[in-house]
Amino acid sequence: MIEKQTNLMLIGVGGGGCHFASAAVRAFGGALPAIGFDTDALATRGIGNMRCMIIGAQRFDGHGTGGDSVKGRQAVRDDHEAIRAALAGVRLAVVVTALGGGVGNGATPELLQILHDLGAHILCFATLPFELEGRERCQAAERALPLIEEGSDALVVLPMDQLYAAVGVQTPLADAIRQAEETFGAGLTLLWRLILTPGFISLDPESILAMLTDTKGRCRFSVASATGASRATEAVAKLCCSPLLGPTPALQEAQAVMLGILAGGDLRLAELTEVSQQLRAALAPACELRLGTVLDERYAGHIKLVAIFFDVLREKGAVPGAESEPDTLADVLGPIPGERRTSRRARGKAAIRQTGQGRFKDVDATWLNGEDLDHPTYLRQGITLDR
Amino acid sequence: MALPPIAALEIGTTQTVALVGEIDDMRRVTITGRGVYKTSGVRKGQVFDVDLAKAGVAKAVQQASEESNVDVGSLLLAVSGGHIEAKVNRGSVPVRGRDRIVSREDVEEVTELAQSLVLPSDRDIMHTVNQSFTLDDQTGILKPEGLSGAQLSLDMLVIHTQRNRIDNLRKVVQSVEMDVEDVVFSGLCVALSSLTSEQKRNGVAVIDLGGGTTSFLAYADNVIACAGSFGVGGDHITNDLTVAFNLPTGRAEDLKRRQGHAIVSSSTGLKRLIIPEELGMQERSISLKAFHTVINARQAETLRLVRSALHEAGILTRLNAGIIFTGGGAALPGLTELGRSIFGLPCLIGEPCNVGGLANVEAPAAYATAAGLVLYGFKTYQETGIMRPVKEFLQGIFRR
Repeated sequence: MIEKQTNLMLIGVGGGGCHFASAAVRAFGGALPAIGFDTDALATRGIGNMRCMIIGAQRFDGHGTGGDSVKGRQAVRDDHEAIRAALAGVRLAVVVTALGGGVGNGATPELLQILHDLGAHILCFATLPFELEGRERCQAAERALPLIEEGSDALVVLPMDQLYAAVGVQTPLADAIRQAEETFGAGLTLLWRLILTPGFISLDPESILAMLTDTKGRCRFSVASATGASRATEAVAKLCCSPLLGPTPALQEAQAVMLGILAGGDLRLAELTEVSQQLRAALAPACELRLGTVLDERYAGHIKLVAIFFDVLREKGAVPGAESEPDTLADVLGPIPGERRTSRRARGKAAIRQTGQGRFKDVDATWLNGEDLDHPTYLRQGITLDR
Repeated sequence: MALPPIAALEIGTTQTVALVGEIDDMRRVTITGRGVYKTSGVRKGQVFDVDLAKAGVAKAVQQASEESNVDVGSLLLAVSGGHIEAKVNRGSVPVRGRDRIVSREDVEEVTELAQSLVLPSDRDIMHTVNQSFTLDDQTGILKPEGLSGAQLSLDMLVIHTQRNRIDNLRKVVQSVEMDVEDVVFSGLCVALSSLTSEQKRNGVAVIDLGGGTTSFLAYADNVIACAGSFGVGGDHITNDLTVAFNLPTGRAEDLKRRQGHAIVSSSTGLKRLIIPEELGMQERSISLKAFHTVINARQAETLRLVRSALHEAGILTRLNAGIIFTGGGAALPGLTELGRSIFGLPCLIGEPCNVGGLANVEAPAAYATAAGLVLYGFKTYQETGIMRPVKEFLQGIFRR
């Protein structure tokens, strides 16, 4: 395969995110620049095919966060410079994070902020916990979602229940996990395939970046594959009613679609046309469809469709629900004691908080000479602790 | 005539202290009852939960009442916090007598003028303290009556506070069926209990390091030159440690008390503090040097706030007797050393030396405010003959 230099990077966040990223690297088969971030050294020990960076090790000694998003956030803050160095030069980041846990909920928004500061375009895949994991975990994930959405150019939200429903609920667990990882991996690596692998119709990286920039918002993604003579028709039908699109796969709502067609060298032009026409028929007339083909001998006799449906478009620079100021990270996840930060959008018009934070939240904040004295002194003064 | 015992209460951020004091015929004040109870529902000197705070008040007062065998029905209340501010207000009047000799009326008129500071509607004046009179170009006059001149001015230190903060503290006391006789700024209290006449003459600043607040009051040339309070205290050190080392608050507080030091010494070297297994976290160790660095950063910053205030008031160079530290925070090892490096002045840990009965108490500096409050009560009582103090008489009390 000939690869173009586009500075793409796959980034896994938290135990689940690292695991999915690792599975995607494995499924991709080629060299895929990838990095994982987690606080739990034990959980990432089994991942051998990509670099995993243990964050917040000085504070948490390589242990998990126990579901505490504040700890996840602190971990990124602690190793901010090292993370920044690791991500320097990334132009397009595909971030995969499993929400519900401490690192997923807490560290992801911080990492997105770092990527944003580095000038990277961000496509984020966020999984929501299984319902069986409990309401609390699900609610924590839901609370974190607006922050992730705010931090990414495009966000694909994927409830784990939907991912496994796509595999088939009756499939034995071991197979289900493998298939789910494969399905998800296909979505994660779609951009690589479209950009890096030459095909009959290739997508220019610049046009992908432009699409991500122009179509900020929440997306859905779907994967389908088929074999045989009518593989094209079958694959599109599967793609359009995949459980990955949710209980009501209302494709009419999609305002733009990025479609990757993976097939072997036996892909015929008629099949390509059929895929395109059928999909267009399912979409609203105004919907923009961009497709690229990837010809890979491993898919001989197969066709695999991977699509990202951009549902909610927003103007460049506009924000979802702009009439109401979005919650800040601290509002949603609870503050790091003494913390004072504003959301990306609210920056530049930082309002002075009237009450204190963290431990001092019940009483007036102590502001003096423009500084919030409730915030730890060593942090405000940038003192590095020789731990 | 024997004066009745006086009860004083300080609802601190960390602990609530109640003292009962009695005065003998020789005008010596002795603390006869002492009650201390952990405070809840208060942060930075402000009440955020009356029900939580009242439990501490009830226990502390009961303890002091039982120890002294005095039935406490009303008491004096000390307050501190960032809501307390002080301002020097100057009043000026022409000397009216034909012979240009300052009369009693002139002094009364200029005093009234100097006291009348216009404040926002949510603020009340707590104390007005005479600094000194100026007669034409002659400054630093303490008794102008009978002197000749054309223009008489008076500088008055006006200490004012936010009304609802005081009302909330009153509510706590009233909720345990007691009356508040008067509310007094804690800085005045510590000055009364812990400063000697000699120190006041030479110029001195007393810094009361509380759990949630840091109050200060400075004497220069025997008058109160400036005063103030910040909403920063020992709780902030604990909070900084909590954040820095991911410690539970209780553990951070305990470690601060046992291992805290205001100075980062090279002798700590590679020493480490063992954090036992707790709340699901495994046993681990943290660097003692890093631990002291966090404490040092916060404590130094707090002292620099006071230093700036003293510098702005122009009295930093007039504090020949140096700095006196009181309050629970004064127990931090290395504090005087840190103070010397920041103020460039001698620093001492103060004790409520002007009252008896606290000689055998552990960490007497923590009782400086409440003990001063008892002294305040007796002094006002002696001056006015009534329990409810009349603020105009204060200048007489604080000049001695």
